[in-house]
Amino acid sequence: MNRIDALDQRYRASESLVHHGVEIVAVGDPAGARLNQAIRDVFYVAQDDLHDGPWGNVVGAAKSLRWRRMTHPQPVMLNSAVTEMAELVAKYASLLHGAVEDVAVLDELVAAAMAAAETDSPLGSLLLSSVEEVGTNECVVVAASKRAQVALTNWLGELGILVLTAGELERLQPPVDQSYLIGPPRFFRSSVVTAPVTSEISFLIPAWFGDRTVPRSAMARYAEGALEIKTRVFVVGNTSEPGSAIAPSGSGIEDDFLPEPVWGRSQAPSRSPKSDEVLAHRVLLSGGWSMCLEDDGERIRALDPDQPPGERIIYVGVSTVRPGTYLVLRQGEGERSALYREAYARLGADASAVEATQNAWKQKLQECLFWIGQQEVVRELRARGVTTAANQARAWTDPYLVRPTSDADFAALLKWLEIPAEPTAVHANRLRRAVHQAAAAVRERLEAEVSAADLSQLELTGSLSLGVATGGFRSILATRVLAISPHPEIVARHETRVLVVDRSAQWLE
Amino acid sequence: MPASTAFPAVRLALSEDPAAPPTIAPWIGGFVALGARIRRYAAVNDQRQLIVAVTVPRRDFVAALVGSGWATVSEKIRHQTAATDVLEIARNIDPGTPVRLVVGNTVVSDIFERLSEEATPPRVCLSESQWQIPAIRAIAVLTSLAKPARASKPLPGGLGRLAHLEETWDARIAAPAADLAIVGTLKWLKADLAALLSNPDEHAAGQPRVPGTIADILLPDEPGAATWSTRLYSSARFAEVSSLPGDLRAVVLDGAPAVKYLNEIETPVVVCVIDRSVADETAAEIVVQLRNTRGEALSVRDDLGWSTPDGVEALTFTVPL
Repeated sequence: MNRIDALDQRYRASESLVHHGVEIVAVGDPAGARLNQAIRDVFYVAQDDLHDGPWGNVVGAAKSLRWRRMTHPQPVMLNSAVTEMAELVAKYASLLHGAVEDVAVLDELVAAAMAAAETDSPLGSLLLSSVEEVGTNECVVVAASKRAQVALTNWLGELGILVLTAGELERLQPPVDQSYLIGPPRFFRSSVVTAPVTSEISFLIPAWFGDRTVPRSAMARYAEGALEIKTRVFVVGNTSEPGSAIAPSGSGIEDDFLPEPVWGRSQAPSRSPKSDEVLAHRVLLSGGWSMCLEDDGERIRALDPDQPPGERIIYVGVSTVRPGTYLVLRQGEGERSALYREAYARLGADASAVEATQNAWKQKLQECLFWIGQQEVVRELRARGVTTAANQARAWTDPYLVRPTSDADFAALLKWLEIPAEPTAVHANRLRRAVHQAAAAVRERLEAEVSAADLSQLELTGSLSLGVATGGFRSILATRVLAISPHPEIVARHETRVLVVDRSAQWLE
Repeated sequence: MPASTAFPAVRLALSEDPAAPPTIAPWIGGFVALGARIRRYAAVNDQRQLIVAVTVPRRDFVAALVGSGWATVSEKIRHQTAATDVLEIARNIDPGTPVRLVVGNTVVSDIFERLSEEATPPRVCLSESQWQIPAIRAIAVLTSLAKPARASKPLPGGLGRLAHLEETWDARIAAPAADLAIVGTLKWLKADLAALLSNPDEHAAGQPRVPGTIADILLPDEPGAATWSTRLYSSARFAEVSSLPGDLRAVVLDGAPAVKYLNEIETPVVVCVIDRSVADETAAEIVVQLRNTRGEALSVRDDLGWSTPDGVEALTFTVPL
């Protein structure tokens, strides 16, 4: 099929899904239901210690096991992912004995984990019979993660059944009408239903999983022509669920069902950052890394593997970094200092004059922030027409942020600081150009590296080393964002964007 | 503009292979119509920035089609095909000025050296060539020229004929509006621009005509182009663009990497093309956040007079410029 007909078919598949909706098959799974209840009981008794303290690892492993029970439905003998995690639950639970009072809850969790690891998931047999009914060549099975895809392929591949991740389904667009997605709709990217590849979609979920909502596109709430996808739910099998004497139903336990990292006890800082400090969020990265990303900084370099060669190295705003973004980071020292050194070198004899005017306006802004405070500075700037960018005021004092993006904002800022526009603005523009040139040179080198690299490794392992070692740049790493901490921390500005070893992501896939 | 004045649906077809039958689908003409509706709206409502966002199953062709629609509705172009007009204009051009000429089926951009009226017929002398005045179908003065270029003249094609652009085509090719930019993935955009747009009604009427590419309407600014109208920017390199040219009136941000620059674009019109097949939803979130914090909602149907084709979501609003 040519590209335009294939594209037209996507418009029709969208339309078809709006008319016919998606199917959700809720399969009775008593062993999974027992595990789920045991986890919720732990949540209830351990409420405040879930993310930290002695319960952190038990809860992390148990949630990870529950996730695998839903997304790895192959028979037990082929299911090492589930057995390994159940053993970890037991191991961390045994370390807790003696340290907590609620031993009965703990024992039930271990028993439920072991039972879940020893019982074939009813989802698996239902999947197999559904696929055989439709015809193994007429449908595709979609796994919730790369790891689940590899495991399901070990089981179903021999039968000639195609198993893909949602990303692979998008790229390969197999010529079939039906897809079976293993896991609840919310475990998948919303594009599987908002930009469907097949005109018929079924989700296979355990009956004990209550949330059957199907995601909408992020714009649907406000858009004309918004896609509203209806669901048809079928319940099959033994759906009996254990009652709980511990956690009353409707007890308001917050449980998002996704495996989560151990953040440690964290809450919003109680003081304001000092002049050389900044509010930042910890970002967990594939490969056992993390870094702190400032809330107010300039764009950060990223890699978009879906773009064609030559256009894969991109820049994204710090507020748009999400789990799944591939950041491209220099190992060792942060990169901005090296970039600015090269930029000043490009300015040659004028470098010191440019540096002097840059220092002068940043110093003066710094003083204003010190004497009248950030809120007042932002208010003053807003009054002078600096609109949404005014809350960037503190970031503009950073030596590694050349100037406000907008010409009008920069002019208004300089006027407020009572600094003549010239030569400061001209100097800032020249520095900006030099930084752009230096960054472009690095980007060209990285593009060449990425074009030559095997990007399938990125999806499999989440990170890729780019051996760019010229021009003062040490090894550069592309690594997937796994999670972003819910609370900001105060860190020294020079500590942002620096990779550090961090194992908090061990319970994520 | 009330919906009652909405134009009938535009029927267009698209193909990448001239030998194969083209695909006729409602979204093709629909996106061309959207571009035209936006330009008509912006022509009379220029006090605030207009933002239009569409979400589509895949981004392919959408930016190019919307841009084509925009380009078909241009400011009134003066007829300029009479030799007397050309002579009159040539008399007022200073030596050393960059100019663009349409001569027969050729477009030439070059430096004007002099007008030779002693020759018969009179001639325009450029740095690299000379042209007789009666053969020159249009002439325009340029503000700048990187280097002289010569190319065959683009033709209006199926869309150009549908939009009645033939009559002023030479003048348009000599001096197209340089008011549109598309930011996106260049490799994909260039493939989209090479596709053929045709009017299936011409086929139905038994008058098969040359379809013309999307590029013939959009006239991308490429190295060596003798004439151009639409600037193309790579979203991967857009962070290194310090500021956009002041003559731009509309920017199409094609795909998530481009839409992430939305808050920095200050042109009167911004169109965001959001590809729903991409897992990253931040582009849509950025649009919604701008609408909810600074925007005044408009209706695509009632204010722009456009109905969304099946599978397309649309959102429009204005923000203070």
